Amino acid sequence: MSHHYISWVDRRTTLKWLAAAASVATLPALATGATWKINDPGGYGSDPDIMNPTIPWQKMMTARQLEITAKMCDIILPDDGKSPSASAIGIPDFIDEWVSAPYPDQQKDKVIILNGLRWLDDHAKSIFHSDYLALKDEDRLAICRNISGPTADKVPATFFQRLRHLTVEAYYSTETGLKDIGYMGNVPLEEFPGPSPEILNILEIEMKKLGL
Amino acid sequence: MRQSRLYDVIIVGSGAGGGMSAYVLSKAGLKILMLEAGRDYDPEEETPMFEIPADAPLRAVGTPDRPFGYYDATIDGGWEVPDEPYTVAKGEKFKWWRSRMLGGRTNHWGRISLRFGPYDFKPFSRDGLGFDWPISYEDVAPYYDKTETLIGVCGSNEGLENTPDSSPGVLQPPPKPRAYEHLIKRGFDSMDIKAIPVRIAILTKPLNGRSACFYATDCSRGCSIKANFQTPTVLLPPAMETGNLEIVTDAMVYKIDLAHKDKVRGVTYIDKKTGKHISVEAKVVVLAASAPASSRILLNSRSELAPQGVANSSGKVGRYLMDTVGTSISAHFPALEKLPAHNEDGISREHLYVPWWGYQMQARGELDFPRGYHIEWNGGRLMPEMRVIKPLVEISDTAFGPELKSDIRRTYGSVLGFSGRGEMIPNDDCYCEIDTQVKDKWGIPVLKFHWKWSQHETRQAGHMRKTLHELVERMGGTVLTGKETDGKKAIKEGGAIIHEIGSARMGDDPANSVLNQYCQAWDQKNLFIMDGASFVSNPDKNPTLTILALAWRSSDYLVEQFRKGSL
Repeated sequence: MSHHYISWVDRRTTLKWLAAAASVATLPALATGATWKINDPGGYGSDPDIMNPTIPWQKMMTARQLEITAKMCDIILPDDGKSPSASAIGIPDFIDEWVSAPYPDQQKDKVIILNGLRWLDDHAKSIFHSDYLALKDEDRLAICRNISGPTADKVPATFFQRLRHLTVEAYYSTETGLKDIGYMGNVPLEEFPGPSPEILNILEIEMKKLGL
Repeated sequence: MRQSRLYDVIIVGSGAGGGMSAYVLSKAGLKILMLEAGRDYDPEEETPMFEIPADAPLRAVGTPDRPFGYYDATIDGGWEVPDEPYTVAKGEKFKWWRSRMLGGRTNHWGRISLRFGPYDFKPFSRDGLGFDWPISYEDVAPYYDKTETLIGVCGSNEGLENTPDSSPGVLQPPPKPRAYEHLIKRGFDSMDIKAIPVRIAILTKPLNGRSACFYATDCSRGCSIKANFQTPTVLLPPAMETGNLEIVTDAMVYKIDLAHKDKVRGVTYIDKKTGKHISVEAKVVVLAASAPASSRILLNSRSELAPQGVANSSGKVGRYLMDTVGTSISAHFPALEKLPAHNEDGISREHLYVPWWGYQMQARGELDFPRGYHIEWNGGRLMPEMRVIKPLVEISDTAFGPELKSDIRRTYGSVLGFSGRGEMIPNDDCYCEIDTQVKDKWGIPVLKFHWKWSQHETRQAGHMRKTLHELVERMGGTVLTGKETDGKKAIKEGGAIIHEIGSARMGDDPANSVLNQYCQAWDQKNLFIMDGASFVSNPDKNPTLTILALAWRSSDYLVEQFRKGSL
């Protein structure tokens, strides 16, 4: 029984979507090779309200694209008992936020990600004669092993690596990710204590091994 | 339209030079009008202090609208400023970072505050290249002491060659090195290179009502507790308290107005909110718009009285523009993977650095480049922004699954970045001039930049890379980016280090310099240029501390001359 990805609209941060602000129709057509100029329409501009951030562009992924993305994200970063899966903390929605952004880097990624998602669908149909979302988990894993390997075709290989990067980078830059990775900063201190004696001992052993 | 108030001094720009000038002149009782091209800005209200990447669009990564990221304290700026283009000569590369906000680039700068040393003021006398300053270290040393005491600089006195000590009691205590900095220091020790506490304009003790650093939040966002140096928290408030300073923002100065050939009457600016052109008068004008911007104003002030532009009878305005030589690498160090999780935020910049160690090697002719560089670094257990996680994904050989999570947790903290920052020697090919074809939104001609590195810089850049590669090897690491050792390919483009200075240099001779040693124009005695434009050379030491110290020295002279009635 496959559960459906529930879109992560309830971000507990101040980051809000300006739903009505920009309709897709007002976005400039970004021709290939065109360069973005500061304050071109569609972005957040050169002087946004930093203390109350908002996202002015519309998300463009379909529910189905989000579902497929969620499956992929959770294969890349599953729940391992220590921290939740990528979809459990809204990473597919972040991918949507990313590929929907009007900036050149993100527009490049949009092509890679959307082409990849289409490839997965086509591949599922031609190899497994099935809808990608209806595949068994082990089949989806097999596809991932295939497209992450050295002999993968260019389109799925590029897609996989890009999605892998976006998923992991997005995951670990959340509150959950910060905790899971062991980031202990961002707290005010009276004094900076420097490394503990325990850490200095370990370091001393390592430096000895290096002949330092 | 008559202005309602009479001003003694108009200051153009509110960054390091303008901020210091306003501080000194207003304290001396002069009536000041400061014109800032950007908008008003209050770091106490507008600094995102504890926000994490996920609190911002796109995890706060850089975009063309905000190239150093969503949280960077740069408003309406970056490599482009809306409506204010610049051009670069065909086939050449240069980029120009600007911001349009009160305090200018002091809001986001790296805050590394290294004194120029005795050699740095007399480079031509030492190796026959570039030019000597008309002043020596001894002239500036008292102002370094005063500036460091006022703004708060942490660091230590190490008695190293051409790396001057401060007077006793001037510096604040440096923060303790991070774990990875112990490893770096040991690596450099093994190469007979000294790593010492960095000097940085961040408070480790409270000062004049400002809090000490609480060792969290990246300084490039600005600082709402005023623990780091930026003019809107450190220099402008005490200047405002004197009642002698009036600040007008969104006022883009584009022209110096002359009373007659030898005397400035005031300036004309565009009120960016209304588009109106407004002329204001004062007894003295201080330009501190940033080196190229000040040059642009001088050159755009051409008239019958000043056919080559104001202060430009020497033809040297725009000439000898400099930036800093820069290269970077990143590397992975397995030894650091062994360390348990701990808080490495610190003062958000390196706690140690490496000053140039090669003066004696150069004196013996052992190096193929004449001037020095210092080494900075960052990395470790930084707040996990996407760019911090990216190399961890790259070095993991696990494509997906629980093992990938383990890899990321294990390697977090083990990637470091290193940068060389070196001296550029001024040359005839690096300058800015007025572009005769292109104008900004208000019809004001823009700057055109020309840039060519010489072999002095490219060879130095190659040496930086080779030195850093050797360090990485000694630390048991693997270079991830920056493998190229050909300096011509490794060197960053002109302007990229955002230390553009020179273009209205000081000197002893009005025939080949724009300013005297007090940053006073030879041609018009009541005009001063107190940003980095006056610089004669650009040592590896980051320019802001010296801009501040020279602005103080020049402002003292201005007050003295003003009182004598000779301006």
